[in-house]
Amino acid sequence: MTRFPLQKIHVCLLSFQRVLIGISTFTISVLIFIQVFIRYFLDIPLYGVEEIAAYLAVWLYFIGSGYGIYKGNHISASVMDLLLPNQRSKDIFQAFVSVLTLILICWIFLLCFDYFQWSMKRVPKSPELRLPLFYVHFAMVFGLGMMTFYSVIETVRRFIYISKREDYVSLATSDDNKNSLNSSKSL
Amino acid sequence: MNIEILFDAIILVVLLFIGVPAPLCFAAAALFLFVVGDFNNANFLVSSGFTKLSSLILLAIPLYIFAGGLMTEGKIATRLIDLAESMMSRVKGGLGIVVIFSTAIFGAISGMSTAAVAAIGSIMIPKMVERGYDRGYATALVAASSVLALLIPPSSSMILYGWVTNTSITAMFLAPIIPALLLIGCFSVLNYFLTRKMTLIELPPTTLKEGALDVWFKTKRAAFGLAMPVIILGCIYGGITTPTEAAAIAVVYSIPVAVFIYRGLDFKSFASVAWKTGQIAAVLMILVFFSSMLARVWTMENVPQTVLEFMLGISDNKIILLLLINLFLLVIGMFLDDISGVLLASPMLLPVAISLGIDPVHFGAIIGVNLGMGLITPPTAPILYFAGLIGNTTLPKMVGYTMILIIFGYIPVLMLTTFIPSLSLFLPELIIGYQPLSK
Amino acid sequence: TEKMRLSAIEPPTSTVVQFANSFSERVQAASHDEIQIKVYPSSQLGDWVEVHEQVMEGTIDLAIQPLSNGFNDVLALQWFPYAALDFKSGQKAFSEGGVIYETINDALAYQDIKILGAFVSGMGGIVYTKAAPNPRDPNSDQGLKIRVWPGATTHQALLDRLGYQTAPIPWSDLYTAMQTGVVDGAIGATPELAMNNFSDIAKMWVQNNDHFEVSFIAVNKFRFENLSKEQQMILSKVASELSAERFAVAEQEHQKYLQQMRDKGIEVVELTKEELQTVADAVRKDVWPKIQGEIGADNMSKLKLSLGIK
Ligand code: NA
Ligand code: NA
Repeated sequence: MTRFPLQKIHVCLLSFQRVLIGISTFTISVLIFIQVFIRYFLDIPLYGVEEIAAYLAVWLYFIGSGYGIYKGNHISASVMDLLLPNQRSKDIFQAFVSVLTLILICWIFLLCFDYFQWSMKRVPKSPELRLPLFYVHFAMVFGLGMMTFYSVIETVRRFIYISKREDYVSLATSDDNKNSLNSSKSL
Repeated sequence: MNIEILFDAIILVVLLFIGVPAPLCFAAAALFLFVVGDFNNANFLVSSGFTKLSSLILLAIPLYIFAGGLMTEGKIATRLIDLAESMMSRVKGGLGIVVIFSTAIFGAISGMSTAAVAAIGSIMIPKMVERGYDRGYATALVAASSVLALLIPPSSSMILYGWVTNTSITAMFLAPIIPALLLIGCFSVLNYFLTRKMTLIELPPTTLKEGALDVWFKTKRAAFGLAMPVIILGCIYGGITTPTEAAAIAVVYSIPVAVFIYRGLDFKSFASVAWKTGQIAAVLMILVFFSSMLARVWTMENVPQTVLEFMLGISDNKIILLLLINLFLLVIGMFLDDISGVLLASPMLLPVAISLGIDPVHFGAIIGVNLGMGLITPPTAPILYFAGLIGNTTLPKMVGYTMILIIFGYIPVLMLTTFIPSLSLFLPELIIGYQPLSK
Repeated sequence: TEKMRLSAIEPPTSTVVQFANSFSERVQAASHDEIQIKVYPSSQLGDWVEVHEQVMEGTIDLAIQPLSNGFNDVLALQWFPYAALDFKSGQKAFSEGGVIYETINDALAYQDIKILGAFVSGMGGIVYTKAAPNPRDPNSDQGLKIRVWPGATTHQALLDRLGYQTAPIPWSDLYTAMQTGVVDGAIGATPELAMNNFSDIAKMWVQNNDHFEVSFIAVNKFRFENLSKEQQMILSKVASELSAERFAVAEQEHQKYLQQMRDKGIEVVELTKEELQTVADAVRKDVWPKIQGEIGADNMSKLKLSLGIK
């Protein structure tokens, strides 16, 4: 019953993140280019443009980091996959790892939140535009929040799959499968 | 050695080993020292990560990835391969050399090894197999050559090294070039020996004139791609822009080239390159975020100094210590990718290197070659595995060839880079008048 | 024992870090090893803005550096152009009771930072990789592009008035930018900084005393107040002693680095007293009204009062 709107929100959220990530990447490039162009050809310094680009990049990185958890894209160096004998033992072990990961993310989330509160209280400003930095510091709270959100989903799903005695399928993979199913239907 | 530091290292290694994502392993190690150390609050951790992320210099990384992505999507790889192929058509085992050269040139456009594997590997591996090359060898060669992307500018790892250690990015782009050329030479020679036993289908020979005409034609087709590294390096070394600004110019250059000239890019694929770039950059930068936290606590708890004392306790012979540092980097490279490796090793080992009289730029080249090698050294060999995926083959089929390329290619070049400083310092001294430490 | 961390931006060989080391040694000796200060040079604990933040928080106990104006604009008074004209007027303004010292100390009270003393690095100037055509004339177009540090609103206006184009470039990029010609020079340095960092690419140094370069010995207020009265005394006493000693030799040291530059073949242009006054008058008349917002009208009138300007 609740499944449909949840799924819809989930899909909207994802495409929203993708759009934001794409637009930021493009905008950052254009901003830096404009800055060089104006400095080199018109010989006028353009103050603050680089600052906007750098802070936009911070937002980009943190939005992308949440998405990276969803996609399972974060760099990891597991050797356990080579050592464990079968899929089930791997899945159980991975569930344990995802709990550890979740705890660490939550911890950092709290630290970032503390820092954000400090920033609200002290109001440090950016060097060039004198922009209150809490607008940028909030990106960390947002990013770690999204990371927590997708980590919780991953952890819960892992335990559900273990209790169902099925091989784990990540949310991203199952979304992809649904998409290809839908598109093949529409064909 | 301090017991807390030892324990911290164990936490880091164990978490990495069991597969906790690398950025969070760094976070855990930082948090451990924070908890046992004498600190009143954790704001300094968050603040050190934030300051690094908001740096204008590091902005170069997403921009170079973006530019490389646009050119790749604009099918630049095909043109580079065609060009290399027409140049090598008369050489025996030429297709192997085509792989080496086209990945090297591709590396001058892209800052990431993975992009080189995907772009060159997906075209070249099937082509080589068709002509009688062993599939495992073809894949191993693509993987080993792709690492060149990290040594040939622009390079994300070199930008990061320069930033972490406060070394000029402009110098860091130049330092690993000669080692990269040596690697290209080694691989080409190894290619000759390794392909001797394979029954290769060679193309009928052409006359010199036909060949030259063909090369000229293919060069023209690839010209807009080949112009890109010239533009980037020209902007940086011609005193027009900083490396970050050169990257933005590269992006703006590659859009019309990919869309109108190479016609490989429509709005949809453009948007997809943009958001995938952002995603890759985010994954790298989150690593930077947490590793700067770790580096900061390490400094506060005097970890680099402890490591230095520990190493000097083993020996005070410069050669032995340099070998030890390389061994240490090798182990890091076995388990980590280049970016994590740079972020982890440089703040810890650079003080040691400097105390041995090694110039930071020289040390960056050592780290680059060593950790580059780590990308194809099992057990954790992201580039090799990725190439296996692209080349549709398995680790056992590639590993033998890979080890030959490592032992007779990478290791000798690594030793030369380590013990002959001028290999890495010559270009920075020549082109930007860099003044090394020892002089 | 009390273990404290002290951060400095400069490399270990710099005079500031040597100053920091003697601070640490003297405090340790005077406190009979009860206070141990470890010096972290070369911005190991973060750039100056980060360190300022961490001294506020008490994660770093002490720092010797210029203070960040990120939390309060007034701190731009530290490098306010021609607030002081020479070492003599600089010493007056930057010592306890002086207009700049007191204004800054008031501002810092809200940031949980206390100033114990000041290290005078020297008088500022401009370092060039291309010689300026009319370095002594404030009213000529120089046709050169000079780097300012990011956020240096005061010095953008200053250089604009003196006939230069400006480009904001962070310190870490500066050598390369000068080397490759992205800019033709830089402001924000002292003879020592210029000599240590740019001696191999510099063609000219113009000593125009645009600002007085000072590093403050800053301590976290709570950390300081939690020490015993006797320990507080020791820190304050050693800091003021050292500050005074430094003031006494600062001008001599300054001349030493100017001479080193001449020996290196760098053209050193020292403005005469009259020339300095002409430049200062022009800047105070034309530039100050534009940058008054940085420090506020009140502080501006205090500053003018102290200098006897209407
Ligand atoms: Na590259
Ligand atoms: Na490896």
